Amino acid sequence: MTIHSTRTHTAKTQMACLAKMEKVIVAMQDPDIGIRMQSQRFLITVIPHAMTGNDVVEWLYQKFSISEEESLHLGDLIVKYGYIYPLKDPKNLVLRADDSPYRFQTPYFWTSFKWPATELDYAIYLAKKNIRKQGDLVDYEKDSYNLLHKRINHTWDFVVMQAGEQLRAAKQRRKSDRIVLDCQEQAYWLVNRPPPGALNIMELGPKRNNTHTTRVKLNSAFYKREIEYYKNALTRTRVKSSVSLEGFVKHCEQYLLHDPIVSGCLPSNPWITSGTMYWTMNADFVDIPTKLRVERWAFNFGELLHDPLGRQEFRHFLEREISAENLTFWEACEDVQYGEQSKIDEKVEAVFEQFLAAGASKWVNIDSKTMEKTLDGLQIPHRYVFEDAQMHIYMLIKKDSYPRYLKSEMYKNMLAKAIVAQETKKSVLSLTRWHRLYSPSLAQVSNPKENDEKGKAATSGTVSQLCRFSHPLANLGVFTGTNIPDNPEDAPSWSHSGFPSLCPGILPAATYPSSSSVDPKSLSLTAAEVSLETQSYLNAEDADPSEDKEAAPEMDEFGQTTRC
Amino acid sequence: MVKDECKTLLDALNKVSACYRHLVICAGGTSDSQNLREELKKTRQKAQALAIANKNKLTTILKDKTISKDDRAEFERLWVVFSTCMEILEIDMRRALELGQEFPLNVPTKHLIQTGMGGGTSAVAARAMCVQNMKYEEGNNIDTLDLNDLEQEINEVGEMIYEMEMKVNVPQWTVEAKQDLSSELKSTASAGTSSVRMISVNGGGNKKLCDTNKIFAGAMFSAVLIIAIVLAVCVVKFA
Repeated sequence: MTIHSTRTHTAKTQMACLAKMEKVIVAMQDPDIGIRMQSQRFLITVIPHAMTGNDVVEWLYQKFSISEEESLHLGDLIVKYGYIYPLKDPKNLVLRADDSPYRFQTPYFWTSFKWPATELDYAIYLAKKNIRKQGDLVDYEKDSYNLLHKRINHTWDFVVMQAGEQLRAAKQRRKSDRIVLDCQEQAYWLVNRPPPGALNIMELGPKRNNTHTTRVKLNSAFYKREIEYYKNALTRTRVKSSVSLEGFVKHCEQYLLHDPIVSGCLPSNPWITSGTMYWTMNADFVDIPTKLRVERWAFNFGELLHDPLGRQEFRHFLEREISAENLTFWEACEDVQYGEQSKIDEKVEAVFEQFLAAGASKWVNIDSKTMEKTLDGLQIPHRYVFEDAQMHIYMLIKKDSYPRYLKSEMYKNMLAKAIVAQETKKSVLSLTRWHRLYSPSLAQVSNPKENDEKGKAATSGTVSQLCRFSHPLANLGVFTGTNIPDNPEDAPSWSHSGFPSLCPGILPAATYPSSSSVDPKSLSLTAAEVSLETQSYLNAEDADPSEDKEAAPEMDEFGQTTRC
Repeated sequence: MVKDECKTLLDALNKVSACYRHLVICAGGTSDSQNLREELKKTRQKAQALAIANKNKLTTILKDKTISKDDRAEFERLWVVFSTCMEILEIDMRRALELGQEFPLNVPTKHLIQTGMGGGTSAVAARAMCVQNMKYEEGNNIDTLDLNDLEQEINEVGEMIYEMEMKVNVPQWTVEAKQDLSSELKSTASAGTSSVRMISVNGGGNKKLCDTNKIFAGAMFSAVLIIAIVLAVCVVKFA
């Protein structure tokens, strides 16, 4: 039979995570191994099928053999997606692992992208609520109501009629069922039309996989492709992770101080304080660059070349040494490679005339083999015809001129000229936790003091400070330790209090003679909390750090001993 | 008059679809049962019959070119209400099919969701069917048997909607609703203010007992009891 369908459903299958949650919910219903149910009692009515948050967490914990934390999180997700709703505090879709009551949502109201909540339904719900509460709707509901009245005005008669009828139909049920129905509907609309500012789980992120487009047919062609793929993968050359990780670690070490997120951004992070000094100071061509920028030129040749100011400086240097044609040749090749297709022919001609022809004005020194190859390639000019020559010259400059530049007077003068930006004064009120924490200046200022007193062989003050969270395993002995249990309680107050008030909170930790070791658990701490402690520790106790640090290992109140 | 007939038909359809939706909401939960499935079937069939009646009537009227402009506007408004009602009905029917497939009643390993609803839905169905009491005639596997019928009926409804859109050319957005903002508040004769409100588990809050009858009966009973006790005491004293 032919099926006329003017409405095609957009999603043929349920979203994967929702399907999984539904399975969990159904598994909970088993009378034998399901979840423990209780009854909710009012003055006269008793409504069955309530469960405590604790029960939910326990059940998940046992069923899936996961940690408590994970089961709490999973349960919380189930509540947020509307499969279970809270009874005591219905507007707050959060799972609490205590005896607050929850109930299952009826399958009709399960979250679904196959059956999205329509404007019409929402209008009917608001009309019903309006009738029940005699016009006393919440603000955002009032706004939605007015908006809907405008938008679907043509069906408003139907909305009113249907709202009335639905209420009358519900009256036929007994009282406890009516309560349950209202709770269910309210929970459904809290999920599907959340109040402004609340989390909207119906909002899909920008890069969601469409389940029905990535479906594959498991036929022989698919398996053949898989086999081919894995055969090729077996013979692939691999680098040992120890080797590649070393390289990664080296890179991180080198760039640690230059990373604005980890090491703070001087004068101030524009994204946080909306002050654009940072950008103006690091513009392409400034008279006085920042110190970090000039230091970065020494990391590798690429850094120097890709920084416009660096390239300019390098060019000046080469002009002095009368070897600037190499750089010019390289730039011309780049231009050919990245330039317009239509201009390639003339550019290639120009490059040949200027740099490669015998007796050219800016002749570059390329070895014979490469020269031959290039000249052959010139017959059919294309973007990459100068690739080999360009690479050869690049290597030449890198091995020859670049090291000389770094040793040169010009570079040293530049280094001396470069400035370190002053951190902007922060007002207490506009402070955010992150911003304050990520300025290394305080750490730098107090470091010399610390080093003298400690007498430790630290490479540099900042590095030892910051190394705490870059090499946690290597830095067991660093005494600016924190007592890890302190952090969770202190954390919330930091974002609201001004700087001075932080000290009292941290002092208890600081005055204990022993500090806990920085065990791998501290990795889970955000760097923010860790370095804040560092700062305030340093600032708070000018008094006698030496005593504290050289104390013998003792048990502090949290039962953690120091490791010296 | 023709208009009144149409209105009554439409009201009836509205009522039945509201009841149908109520019943579908209960499917899959603990108030689900063979009876509920039968109720769903009956309500749905009634809704469909009403829909066909409505459609025939309205299409004949709207095809008639001789009616006045005001009348036409009025019938177009009714048409819009009718087609919205049909949309909702179709969606509810599809959902009922899906829920019926997901929650079969006779499979012991598949459990219903414990939603907290325990009462029966027969009163709602009776309201839909305009009878006093519902009679249940179907056997014990109505839930699976009905699904095929349901699928067919969904197709029929779909076709009907398509036909409607093809035959009658009523642009929906041109219709102006009669009801104003918050007009439902004025007509709250039956809805009543004493409906259920959110009740906290601690038992306090703004609980209003809407069963005033219950309270009245309780008060009467306690009054009678007190009188009886007083009389007995008097008898004992003076006897």
